[in-house]
Formats: sequence, structure tokens, C-alpha cells
Amino acid sequence: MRLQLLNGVRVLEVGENVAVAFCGKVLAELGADVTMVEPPGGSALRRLPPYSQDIPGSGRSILHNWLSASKRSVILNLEDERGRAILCELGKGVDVVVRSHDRGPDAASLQAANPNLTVTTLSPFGPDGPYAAYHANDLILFAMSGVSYYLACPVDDPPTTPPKRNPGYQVGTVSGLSAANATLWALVAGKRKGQGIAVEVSEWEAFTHLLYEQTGHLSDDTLPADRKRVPGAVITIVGGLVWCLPCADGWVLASPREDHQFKQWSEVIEAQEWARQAKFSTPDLREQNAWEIYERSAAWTKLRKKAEVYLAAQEKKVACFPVSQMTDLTGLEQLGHREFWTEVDHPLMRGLKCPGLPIRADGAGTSPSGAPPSPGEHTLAVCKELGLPSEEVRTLWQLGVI
Amino acid sequence: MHQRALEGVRVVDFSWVVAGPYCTKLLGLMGAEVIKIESARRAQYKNRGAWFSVLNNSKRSCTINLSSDRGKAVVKRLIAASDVVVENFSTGVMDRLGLSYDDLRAINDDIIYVSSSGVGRTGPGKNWVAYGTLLQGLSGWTSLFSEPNARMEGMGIVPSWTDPITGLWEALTIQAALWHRGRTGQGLYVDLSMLESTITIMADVFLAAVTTGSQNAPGESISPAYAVPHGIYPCKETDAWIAISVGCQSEWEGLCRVLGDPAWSRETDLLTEAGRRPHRARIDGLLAEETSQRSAGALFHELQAAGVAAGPCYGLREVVEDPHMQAGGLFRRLPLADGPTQLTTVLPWSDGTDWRGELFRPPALGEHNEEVFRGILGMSEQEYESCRGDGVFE
Repeated sequence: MRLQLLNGVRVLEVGENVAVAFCGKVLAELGADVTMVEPPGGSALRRLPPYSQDIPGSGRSILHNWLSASKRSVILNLEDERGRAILCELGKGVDVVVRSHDRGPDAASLQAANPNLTVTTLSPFGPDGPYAAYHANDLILFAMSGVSYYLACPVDDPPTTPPKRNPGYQVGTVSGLSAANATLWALVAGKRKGQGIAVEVSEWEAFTHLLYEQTGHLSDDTLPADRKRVPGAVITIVGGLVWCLPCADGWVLASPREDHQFKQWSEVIEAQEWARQAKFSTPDLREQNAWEIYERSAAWTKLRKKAEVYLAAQEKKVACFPVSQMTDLTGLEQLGHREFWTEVDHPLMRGLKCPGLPIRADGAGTSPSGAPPSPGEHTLAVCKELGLPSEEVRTLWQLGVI
Repeated sequence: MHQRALEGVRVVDFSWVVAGPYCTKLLGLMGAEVIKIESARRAQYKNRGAWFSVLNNSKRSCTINLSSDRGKAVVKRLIAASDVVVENFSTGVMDRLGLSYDDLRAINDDIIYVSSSGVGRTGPGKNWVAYGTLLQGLSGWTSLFSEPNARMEGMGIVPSWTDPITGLWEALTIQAALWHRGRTGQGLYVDLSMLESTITIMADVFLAAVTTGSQNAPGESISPAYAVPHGIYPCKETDAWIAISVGCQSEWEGLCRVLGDPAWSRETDLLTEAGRRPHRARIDGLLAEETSQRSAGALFHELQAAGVAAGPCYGLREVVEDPHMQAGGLFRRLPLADGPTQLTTVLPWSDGTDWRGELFRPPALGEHNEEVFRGILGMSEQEYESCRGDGVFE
């Protein structure tokens, strides 16, 4: 289901990368009318894995079908001057263009045609500065942001333990989410200014922005100088102790960080005497004695299944969850109950549970999600909306512009 | 100034820890008047550690004792004069305080009320106690990096992921709700799930796992078939690494040129993209031998000059000191009240000017009590002092 929060906001999406497509996806799910502008032959995203039944081919990219649901598609050859001119014409009829820096007319050209247009441009490093022309993809930006490094920090032997690679297109999706925020900001700022705003999103900056905790430690001069594990030290995050405990059928994470939670946890694992022991009486002392807590906790948890452990802990108001595999998620009753999963209206997507928006909203209307379009499915309709004479449309089609 | 797009939007912010504050920091940078509702009676509000100051720029702070009837009445008066309420307490806390959406809609009918929680405010898990870190485990995020282990080495527990991701979703939702209110005059209740926020941001990985019925081994989740080599390779300095991704023939030729055309790069099998694909592991090994003779910084620029996508594996210190990052201006140093400066971030986008958000230092606990209660609520001196005497502002 789409929410009808951004009804009436018209968006053109120009680019063949996940960041641009995810930005468009989020705006479309919030109710905006999003049209993808694809090159002849269709966007490169249509060829991204995973494929339905693992077989590549037209319409078989599961990821693209998910990203493009509820959008429209026009084909436009932006390598051709006439194609670029048509895009500027299309820009007159919309509120927003979300674009990749390396596709089609730039923000200035688009705004010359429509001075009220909001233009959001995504690029790996932003438009200016020493790396403006550098090449990067998710692997590179994940590494340069510091996320690769901190995912493998601390470790026993840094020189033989490489930083972690990106699992997927998270630089793209996070940048797309930031770009959607930037777009809504620019829409309002542009109205206040009486003139469209061109906003630039550097994917490197957008992804680095997540490292608030390390930024704080750097500011306080408490950021470790290297990745080497301090012997015996435990992991705390945002000030809270976390334990990863073995169970009979997997692992759980537990974080009885506050005094009252720790008391409850000691009852869960039948170690009530801890409540009387000074060495566990404060968070700092528990951090010093974290391995003793681990040993006793693990002795209890490893005899039990994950579900028994985390439900017993939650019953006592202690934060505890199983460590899931991706394939476990569709079985989580909580997600099913909240109707989180959506189905994309496409013959090859039937029965596949796809992630929806992470929000439920009371007070906004909803509308059904649309099917992912075939390449150029709406080209003629959009040409008609533009008022292009059918003679001209035929010529442009023959020339391969549309 | 037009950049203060949310100027005139007043946000009553009950949120604490990370996800909510990450969101309201963005709103504050966009010009909203964010008023943190805190309490001097509770320890959690006194802990203003390193990350607190990064997440709480551009906000005001009031202390109110919400367990007192007068405190509740004061906060309701403030909400009646506000636009947005943000909270991330455990399920039921706002209801018990008489601050549920229905309670507040009765005093402000177009209020936008955003309730953020671990797994959502409905369903069998609605009362679960959750932290972002633990939700990283529940969401499957940690399974992408390492097998679970007692020391949590390389598991994706750090860096904090679910919290800031939730903050981005939340800020977007509030902006969309404000747009909707501007058009329709209607308020909105939003129930935002941190677990769902985490899953949707990695939809690509999730869809790949459920489509194939299994999940790739941790740390090996993405190697685009066309990109060989594609990975992280050691460099000469201690614990220095470089990410390199070669996606086409011209990039391969650029890589070979930078490496001085080593003998193996001229082997017949490795001359074409199709030829190299079956030799991924061997090429990784040969490339690592080459990179380990070279300095990460120099190799980065040489490869980029040759048209090859490459970048060093930075820690945050290197990120902040990088000349390009400095030129972009994401990180700022801001004077604090008591003298030293604080490193923080501005909005993760730019409009081409120097403006990157309305940035001012984080507030001290209760710093804006007088400004808010007297200025905004119009309390007389007598009423203000009477409330203070009653412990309402604790």
C-alpha cells in the first residue's frame, strides 16, 4: 500500500543506480507520482540480480521490480540533444527531478526551462572538490566512510583481518533515503525562496553521516587509535553492555544494561544471588566483570532454544533477541501481524514477501501499489501529456530518441 | 532565510538515546524549533556523553517533572502550541502520562505525532524491550558479516546502524507529514518500527537471500559477476587497506598500468573480462601481493587517475582529515558553552552555498526553561516561580 502523504508531487527520476532509484521508490511509496526516465533498451538496473528463479532476462530482476513498483517509465535517449531537450520539456510539468550526476541535462539546464523545479543530484563525491571526478561504487564508499573499518573493530590481529566489505547496496539505499529527505527540504525551501533549489547529495557524505558515535569519540579524544582489541575488553555501544550468548539452536543478543534490567536478567538465568554481590552492582563494575557474567549466562542459555531464551527475557523486560538469518525474517510473527510485507504486482513476484515502508500512519489515505512498468510503457502517454504532436512523436521514435 | 524550511515548526521532543535525537537533529538543522523534554530527576538525561553532543545540536532543552500533574499540564500547554511530537518511550508510557495521540489530538487537532519503537506499537512484540544494537541482530544485519561469536568480533554490532537509519526514516516521515498537513490541514499519527526501518534499507540483500532460499557466506555477499578484481587489499603501512573494483576492460588496463604491467597481467587467460572471471581468487592473491608493496594513499590517487574505482579503508580520523571531505564541509567544529570545541556534522546535503543547516551547540539540561515557559507559554513571573517552587521544572 502507498501512503497518500505526497499526493500531487510529481517527480522525474533520471539515473541508473540504486541511490536514485531508492530515492524515487521512497517518494513513490509516500504518494508522489514518480516517472523513471530510462535509456533505450531500459535501465541497467533492470539487469541487476537477484533474478526470478535465478534466470536473468527481461522483467526478471527482483530488485528492479521492487524498486520500480508504483512508478511510470518513459524511454528517452539522453545521449541525443533532442532527448535532452525533451527532458527539459518534461521538467516543466513536474515539481522535482532526482538525478544521477552523470545522466542528462544538469540542474542549471533543467532550471533554465523550469525555474521552480527542485533538482536533487546524487554523485559519489559531490560536484566540487579534489575527488569530484573520481570513480566509486558501493564497495569503495563503504570503505572510505569508515563503516568497513568499524565493522571489523576491535579484532585480535588487524594486519591479518581485513575490514568488512559491503553486503549490498547500502551506500545506495542510505544515500537515496538522505536524498529523499533533501528533496522534501528543497521543495519547501524553494517555495519560500520563490525559486527552485538545486540540492547535491554526496553519497560519501551521506553514508559517513551515520557514524555519529565515532564522531563523538573523535571529538572527545576517546576514539581508539587502531583496531587492536584490548585484551579482556568487552563491547559497549552507545554506553550499553551487550552479550552474544550461545543457545541450543543458534545465538541471542542480550543487553541488561540498567541496574533493574540486570536484576531481572539474573532472575531469568537463575542467578539471583548476583543481586547481593557488590561486583555486579553498577554498570561500570559489570563491565569489569562482563566475562564472568557471560560464562554464567551462557551456561544457562546454551541448554535452551533461542525462542525460549528471548521470550523469557522479554517477559522480564530485558532486551534480548535472536540473531537472525535473512531467511528467518518472513517467519517473524511480529512483521506479519503488522502487515509489513508487500507483494509486487508482477507475474514473477507472486507470493514473494517484499519489504514495505517501516511506518503505519493513521490519518493519511492509502492507495494500492502499482505494478512495475515495462521499459517505456508510459512514453506515449507522457508525450501526449506534453502536447507533442503525433507527427513529431513518430519522427522522434524513428530517430531512436524516444 | 529560505533555507530554514522548517522555520515556524515547533517540535516537542520526548525522544532520547539515539534514533529520535538523530531525527530531531536533522529537523533542527532544517530550521525547526526543537524542544527536548528532559528531566533532572532521571539519570539518563544527565549522561551527556560524547555522542550526545553530536546528536543534540540545534535544539533547546526543558526539564519537566512528568510524574506531577502540574508538569503534565505544562507539557500539554506546550504541545497545544506546537506542530510535532516525537517520542520513543516503551509502549504504554505516553498513554500512562495522558500524552497518547488521542489525548493530544483533543488539545491540538492537527498535531503530527511520531511514535518510534523497536518493533512497532502493535503486534505480539509491541511490549518488547529493544535497543538498536540488538535489532541489528534480529533484522539479519549482523549475519551478513560474521558467524555469531561470544566476543562479537566482526559481527556488525558496531558501528551503530539501526539507530541512525531509523532517524533518517523518521525525519523523512515528519517532512512528508508536514507536507500533507500543509495540503490537507490534517495531522497524522505515525507508528515507526526500527526493525522494519533496518530491513527495508537492506531490501536488496533480503530479496537476494529469500529468492535463492539461502544466504551467502558472511562477508561474501556482493561480488558483481562483472567486476574482477573487486575487494579489499592490504597495503604497505600497518593495517592499511584499499578497496578496488574493476568493472570493465579500460579499468583493468588502468590497473595494470599503475602496477607496472606485471607478468601475470599479460597472461592470455587474463586479457579479457570473460577470461578473468573464473580466476577471481587467483587475481585477488596476485593483486594483494602488489598492493602490499604500495602505500594506500598514493595508490588510491594513482588508480583514480587511471580511471579505476578505488578508495582507502578509512577510520573516522582519516575521513575527517581527508582534504576532499574537509572541502565539502560535512564535519564542523562548534564552540561549546564551557570553552572547548566539539566536532559534529551538518545536513548530509548541500544547496551549493555555505549553508549546511542551522547549527548551534547542544543545550545544557533545562537551559531553555525560562525562554520556553515564559516566552512561548507566556507564564507570568509568579506562575513560573510557583512551578519552580513546586518542582515542576525538575
